[in-house]
Amino acid sequence: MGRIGAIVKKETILLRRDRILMALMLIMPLVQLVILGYVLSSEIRGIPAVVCDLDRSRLSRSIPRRLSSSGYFKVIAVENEESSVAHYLDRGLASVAVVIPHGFSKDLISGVGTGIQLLLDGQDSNTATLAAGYLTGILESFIGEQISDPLKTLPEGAVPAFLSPDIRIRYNPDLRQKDFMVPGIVVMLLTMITTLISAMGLVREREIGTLEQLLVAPVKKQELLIGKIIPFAVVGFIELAISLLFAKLWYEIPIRGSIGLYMLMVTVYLFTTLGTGLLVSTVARTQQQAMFITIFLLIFMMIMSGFIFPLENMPKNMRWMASMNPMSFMVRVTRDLFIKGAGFNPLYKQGMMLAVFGLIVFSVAVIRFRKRMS
Amino acid sequence: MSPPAGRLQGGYSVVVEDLSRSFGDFCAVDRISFQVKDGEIFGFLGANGAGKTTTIRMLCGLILPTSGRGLVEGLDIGKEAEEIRKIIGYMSQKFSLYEDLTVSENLEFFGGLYGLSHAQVTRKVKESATAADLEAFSGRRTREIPLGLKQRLALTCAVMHNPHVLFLDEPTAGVDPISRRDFWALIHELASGGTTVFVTTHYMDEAEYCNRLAVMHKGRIAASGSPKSLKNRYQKGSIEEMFIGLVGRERTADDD
Ligand SMILES: Nc1ncnc2c1ncn2[C@@H]1O[C@H](COP(=O)(O)OP(=O)(O)OP(=O)(O)O)[C@@H](O)[C@H]1O
Ligand SMILES: [Mg+2]
Repeated sequence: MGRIGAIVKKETILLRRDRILMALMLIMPLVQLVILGYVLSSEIRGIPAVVCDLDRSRLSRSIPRRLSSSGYFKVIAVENEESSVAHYLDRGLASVAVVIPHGFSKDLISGVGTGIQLLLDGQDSNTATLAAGYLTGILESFIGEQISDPLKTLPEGAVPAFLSPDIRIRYNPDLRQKDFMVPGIVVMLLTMITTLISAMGLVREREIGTLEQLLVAPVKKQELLIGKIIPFAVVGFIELAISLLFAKLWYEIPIRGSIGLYMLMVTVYLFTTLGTGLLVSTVARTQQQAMFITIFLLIFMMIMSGFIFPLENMPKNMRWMASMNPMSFMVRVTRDLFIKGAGFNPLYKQGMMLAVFGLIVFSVAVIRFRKRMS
Repeated sequence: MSPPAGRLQGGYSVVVEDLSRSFGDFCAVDRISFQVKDGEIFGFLGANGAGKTTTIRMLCGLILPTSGRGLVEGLDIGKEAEEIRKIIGYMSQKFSLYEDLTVSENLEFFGGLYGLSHAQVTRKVKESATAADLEAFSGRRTREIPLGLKQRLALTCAVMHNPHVLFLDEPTAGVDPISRRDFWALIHELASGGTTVFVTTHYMDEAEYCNRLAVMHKGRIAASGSPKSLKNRYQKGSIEEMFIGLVGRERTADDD
């Protein structure tokens, strides 16, 4: 313990005296959370839409108003012929066209079932996806209201085919994008800081020459690595505390699950991030190399984590990569714990996966690390 | 404080036989053999790239030899590196203290690394011949103190655990003459306490302070012996002339 203690103490003092690092540690989470939080959870409002009403019923005529009043769409025109719709999309005047078919109102009330056609400008697939989601939501609640209206009772046993039973949005009823995105950013920050700091730690000592003094001392490599890593883990927790505080106070992100359980998960996860950093430092000769390797890994981990790009949208043959990505587990754990208030049992599996990853990465790093110079 | 005898072979602290080290197909150290007597100051001379640092690193167990054998206090440098680490002190050529730690924090850290308690470190520093200077600068960041003192601080850190053998790789490079004299006073003090000192240097006046010398050139030992016997053998008035004669001659020969 004496030796590990000496290394921990030295590392802690050095970290504390590294002004730039300390400033970065405080500023980075704030800036990233503010900017990314807003950018990533921005909702698109006022999407230009054109409605093509072929039904011309009382019901269909109220749809444009309904779309506009949601705020998500701005209905720029209502047409009565299908052929005139393409013009709006082609010219880029509208991003969305809503085509209400003949007999829409009749079919809906009689319970035969009906459909509404949506034409989306797919150039910006992101907007298209969002628009489709909003449209579905709006139309569904609209139709739902019409049907549950006692004056327009459905025939016995008829279920409107248009409505699928579990469209209701669970856990995040107001569809608060932030509640979904901010936990992802928290994980991203934690991953970035701890991986980078650990990757640089040993390489830096190699560069300035102090590593040679450490290697020649009668210290076991495990002692050396643990001593180096402990302060980095503490840095990770401080970073996490700042992020969580900010998420809670600024974005009012709910944290419904147990903080204790979350800390346990984070501890397990840190073995992966710190271990990855160590692994990088056994490969890199210079700080610059360490930086590049780490950034490459981090970008890859982030893209494949479901934090920004939903994993469900990934091609099948890519999805296995995401399933090997510890960050995607941590993002899941964080979202489930914050939003759903998930307890130990539902998170157990992810926790185990994280533990396995951590163990493997860390062990490989320790095995690869040599108490000799190359 | 005196090194335990017994494992030593005929009073030799370091024994090297046919030791070689290659990097790729370049042979940095080429089948060298020499012995260092227990308690002596052994000087290692050589031009840049002669292979001095590579030799020291092998003796400290930091790199493995390609072939040949080396014993430090009777311990094999290939197989017993961990044991060797406990009984040697090493100041690398690029000895780096932690520049952002204060003088006393550096002492404390290196002491702790060798398992010394705070009290032991304090006692050790008090005993040291540089105690006064270290005391005066104890709270200062290491980057701010004079180079001469830095080197003495580094030496104090390297001998915190009373090593039997001390390896110093160009400890006085770039240091002014007064500071070099102070540093050598420390080396002599350690040697008289029974520590074997293995030191590389480029300064020929320092070579005169050594009990015995080896001159290394292009990975080989070109000559060895006491300063006096070397001067006699090569009929030179100073070690510097002897060195230039030896290394310069071979250099010209190689250039042909
Ligand atoms: N890790 C390495 N990989 C490749 N070549 C190396 C390595 N270490 C040393 N060398 C080469 O081996 C030779 C001997 O190097 P070494 O550092 O032992 O010389 P030196 O006598 O200590 O020189 P100096 O006085 O400059 O410190 C040099 O040519 C050097 O370039
Ligand atoms: Mg050298």
